[in-house]
Amino acid sequence: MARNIMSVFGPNGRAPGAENPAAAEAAPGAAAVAPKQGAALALMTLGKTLVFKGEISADEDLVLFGRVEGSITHTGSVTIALGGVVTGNVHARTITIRGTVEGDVEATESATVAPSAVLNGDIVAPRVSIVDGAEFNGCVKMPPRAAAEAKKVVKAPASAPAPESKAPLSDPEAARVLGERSEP
Amino acid sequence: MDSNESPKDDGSILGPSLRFKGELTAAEDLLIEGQVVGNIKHSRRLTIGKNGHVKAQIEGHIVTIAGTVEGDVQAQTSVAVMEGGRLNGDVRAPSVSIVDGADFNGNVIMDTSKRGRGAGRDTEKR
Repeated sequence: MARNIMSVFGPNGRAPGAENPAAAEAAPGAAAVAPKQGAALALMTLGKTLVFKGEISADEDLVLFGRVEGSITHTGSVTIALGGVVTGNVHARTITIRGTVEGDVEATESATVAPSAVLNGDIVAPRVSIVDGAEFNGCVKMPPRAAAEAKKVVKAPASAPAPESKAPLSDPEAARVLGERSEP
Repeated sequence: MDSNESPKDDGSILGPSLRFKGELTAAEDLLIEGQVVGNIKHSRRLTIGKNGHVKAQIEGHIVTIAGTVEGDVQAQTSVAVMEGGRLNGDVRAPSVSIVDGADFNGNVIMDTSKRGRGAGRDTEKR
């Protein structure tokens, strides 16, 4: 059993192009193909039957097939796959929506709304694409790119995973868990 | 489109960078390597990986603990605490195994009358 677990996290290659949103865009099935190889550290897949009620935060690229009721705070790329449903706000670097989102979407880099997507909420991102066929009700705010770039430069040195990763679980209980974990 | 094959075959993995607070339900094999605070309700094979840290009440079918769990664990079929696994809480399951090298503090309640039925149900599902 333990062996199995190790093999899942063995040094399998990253899914080629999994971290490249453009590649995923080119082939609509790419998000679904990726999980098998990408089961290594690079990519995380949340299956269809998964239901999260609460706050999620993560740094690994995330493909969501299941349901999330609550907020997602992410530092990498988030894909809401066909069939995936999010009721709540999504924050990430790049966000691709193929499923359903009821809530606001804020990307620090880009947001893509695919033809199969349903989005009821606002988009804030320096680069936004809404493909013909997508259902979208909300407003789009594009912070000027120059400002976004400047922000990035300022943020870059501070963007070591540690401080960012703590933000979403500010609750004392969660802080305790994190604290305990880092001690031993 | 093969979107239905991938998540089902492998189950889901909650990676080490994932932190989740709240209620989690799932009906597919699940490996937790991240941190979960809250409740987990699960109907298949649930594994808390070596990096996993769970502070929750867990209800599952087959639960394997190789990481750290603080909270009560209830399983319909079995609970296994692997070497290196840490469990602080009570266990209620028809079959419980604790491997040498595991760290366990809590009560074990074994309802052996369910053992046959639980196993049967598991094979049916597969």
